[in-house]
Amino acid sequence: MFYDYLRGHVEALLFAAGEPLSKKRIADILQTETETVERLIALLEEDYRSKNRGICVRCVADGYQLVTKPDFDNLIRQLISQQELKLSSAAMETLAIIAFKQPVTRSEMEAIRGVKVDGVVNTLLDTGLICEAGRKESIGKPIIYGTTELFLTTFGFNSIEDLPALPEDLSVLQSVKDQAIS
Amino acid sequence: MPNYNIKIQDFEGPLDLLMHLIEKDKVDIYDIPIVDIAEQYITYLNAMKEFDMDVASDFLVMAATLLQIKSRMLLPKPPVESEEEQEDPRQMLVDMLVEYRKIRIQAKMLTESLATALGYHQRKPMQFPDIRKKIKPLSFDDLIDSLNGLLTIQEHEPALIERQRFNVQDKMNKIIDLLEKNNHSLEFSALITNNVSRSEIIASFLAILELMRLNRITISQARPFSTIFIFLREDMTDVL
Repeated sequence: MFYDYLRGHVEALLFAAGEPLSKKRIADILQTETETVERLIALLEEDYRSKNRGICVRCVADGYQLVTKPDFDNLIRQLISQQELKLSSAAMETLAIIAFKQPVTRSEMEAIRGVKVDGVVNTLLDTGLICEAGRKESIGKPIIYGTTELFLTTFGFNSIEDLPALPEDLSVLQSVKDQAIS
Repeated sequence: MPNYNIKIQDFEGPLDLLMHLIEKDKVDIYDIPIVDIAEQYITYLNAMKEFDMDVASDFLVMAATLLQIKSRMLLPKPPVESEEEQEDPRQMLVDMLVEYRKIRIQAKMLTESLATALGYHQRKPMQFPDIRKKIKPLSFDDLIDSLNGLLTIQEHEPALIERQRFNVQDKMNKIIDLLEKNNHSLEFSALITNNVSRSEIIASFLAILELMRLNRITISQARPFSTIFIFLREDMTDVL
């Protein structure tokens, strides 16, 4: 393939960027087409597949990102003292409502959870996982919330459409509390 | 009354507690035995109060809702006039619970996604030190002007903060003293107008409020705007 030589270019860009780069951005910088970028990414992924390689490409937030393989998770944690993102079960439930039902207002969230959500929403806003996405055109013009790109990157999704679907069999009355949502 | 094995745990909200009760008894969510569930729910709230746990208002609203549904279920149904089916009074509750359960499952799925995603580590974007900082073109006159501005700043007299001369604790002791000497009762006006300066009046007033809070004294007034009397409490619990 004559564009094969661009493989190193893509790798260098992804390495320097750190955060996800869209294929459009890569294509613009390299002055080529997005299809070419896709093929180059595929070639890179092929290179990284071997067990000897420590990094790989992942597709998140509608872009590509160079990351360490999860096999080396514990290894990397020895290197960096990363502040782990700890979300309470209340925060996770509220985040689920926003993620799956966005855009959504505070009162809509409260109707589902049965409790006030003010504290939790503010916490989630602080983490940058959600943001204000305008106002609803109903009485009082309440603020509506949605998830951010940081949410996609942190949870490893390429887009909102990629959120896991509910299992078909909802009659599974397995006590969700038993599976510790820590 | 059946012996409910109540394990006191911290429920996030009324729906959380309801889900627990329903799942515990393996109740069919589409056919909730309202009478039984309402009774368990309220028993639980009472237990929470007994253990001195704060029962948030949301829980009480749900208790009221459950009782309302229960009474609607128990009342004899009016004759059906139209072809429509009678609305099940539990329907709203069922809808809420189904929705809530969906969210709980989705939250769990998100937690798993998060755990997986956290296995991948990324780099921070590279920083390129920008050595050439842009400096606004300024003239020598600008420098002289700003120096002038600094030199003409007036010297302020340091502000004098007066020491608080009247100590609320002292006033409290004084008031108790006065009450004891005066047959355990005094007029409010007597206590206040004795004082000369405003800060002393304030200290006395605060002392009275504090003594009331500590249940050392009580006050009473026959009618609005009549004399206020202050009484020393006999059943003193030594709190001061």
